[in-house]
Amino acid sequence: MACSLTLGSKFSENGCLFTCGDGSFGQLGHGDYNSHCLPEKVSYMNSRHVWQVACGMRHSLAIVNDDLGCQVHGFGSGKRGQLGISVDKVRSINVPQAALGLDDAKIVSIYADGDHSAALSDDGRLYTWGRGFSGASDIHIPQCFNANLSLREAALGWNHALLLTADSEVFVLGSYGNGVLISPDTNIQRRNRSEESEEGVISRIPGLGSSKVLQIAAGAEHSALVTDDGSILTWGWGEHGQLGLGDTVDQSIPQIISFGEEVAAPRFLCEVYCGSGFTYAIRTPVVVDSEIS
Amino acid sequence: MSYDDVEIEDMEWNEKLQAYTYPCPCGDLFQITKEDLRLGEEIARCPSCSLYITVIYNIEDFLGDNNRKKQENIESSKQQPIAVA
Repeated sequence: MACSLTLGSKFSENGCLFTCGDGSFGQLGHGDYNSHCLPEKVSYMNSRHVWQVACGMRHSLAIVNDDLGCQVHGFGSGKRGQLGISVDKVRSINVPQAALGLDDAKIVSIYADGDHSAALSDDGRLYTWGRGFSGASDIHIPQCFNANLSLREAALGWNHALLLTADSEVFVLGSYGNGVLISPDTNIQRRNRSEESEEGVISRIPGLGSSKVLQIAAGAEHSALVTDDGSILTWGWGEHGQLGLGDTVDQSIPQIISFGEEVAAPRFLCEVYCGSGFTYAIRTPVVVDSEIS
Repeated sequence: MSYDDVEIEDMEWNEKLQAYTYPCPCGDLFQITKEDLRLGEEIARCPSCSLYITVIYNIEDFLGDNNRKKQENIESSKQQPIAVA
């Protein structure tokens, strides 16, 4: 299940897609530009098995996987290329249409946020389309991200993407460096230190030491991750307290969130999720075998 | 620093707010009124944030209403002269 600012999508057990919310850009996929207050079945997808959806600011993506094949469909606003359906500029479409350029890939995950779209293939390659990162030009047809990284997970913000490698390392793609709103001057310095590629600037997240990263999450302008020692770290835009660090300061380096525990606190299994300007975490105490007996 | 440059055609008219709006990353909306646009204002602000965007638009598209208003003002000023500083 995925949610954007204006759209909610869900699917039933047999893979039918339902959407509701703001449809003014066709992002509900009902063949019109109307909004719906109740979930409504996307009839275009009636005979298809939908097994994953992702919602951006004004567009939607869905993976269909059935006898007719496995495809990524896009609908809604396409102005920045985020639907991936045509080399030409598409203002918007209101029925799902298959994205191009993914025929050779077995897509296992799709991502959408802001005007960005991305997909991850079963062999760890990332495809991106939509608004260009780091001021790069928009990508209208999904493009394999040209980096020697085998990826396990991706997370999109409005101006950056986090990439989690199979080796549990995290990289960031995008001009806002570490998901922080920074001035252009700082940006130039940062560019020099980063590996420049056609698709944008990719850099390793600083300050993580040898920690292995288990999970990543991206808000519009902030980021969060979980490390293998059970810590949750956040960085980026902090104006609304979304970093959970007790203040409203922006952070360029990941900071450990304190949950105010006494010493010898139990170990927790942590998960972290970001909304556009907020963050939440789930911590489940790990029961050690010796405690049971 | 402006968060983004947004064309007016990508903004949505919000009847309730009587303003053109565009989503802000905090979850609220950047807003700019027709009156602002007529005056040549190009910054749309978010009421919940320090963030703002630069609106790209053609001022002539918004001066139409203004001209009509001016006309009305002229009409009314004929009847009731107004001192202008």
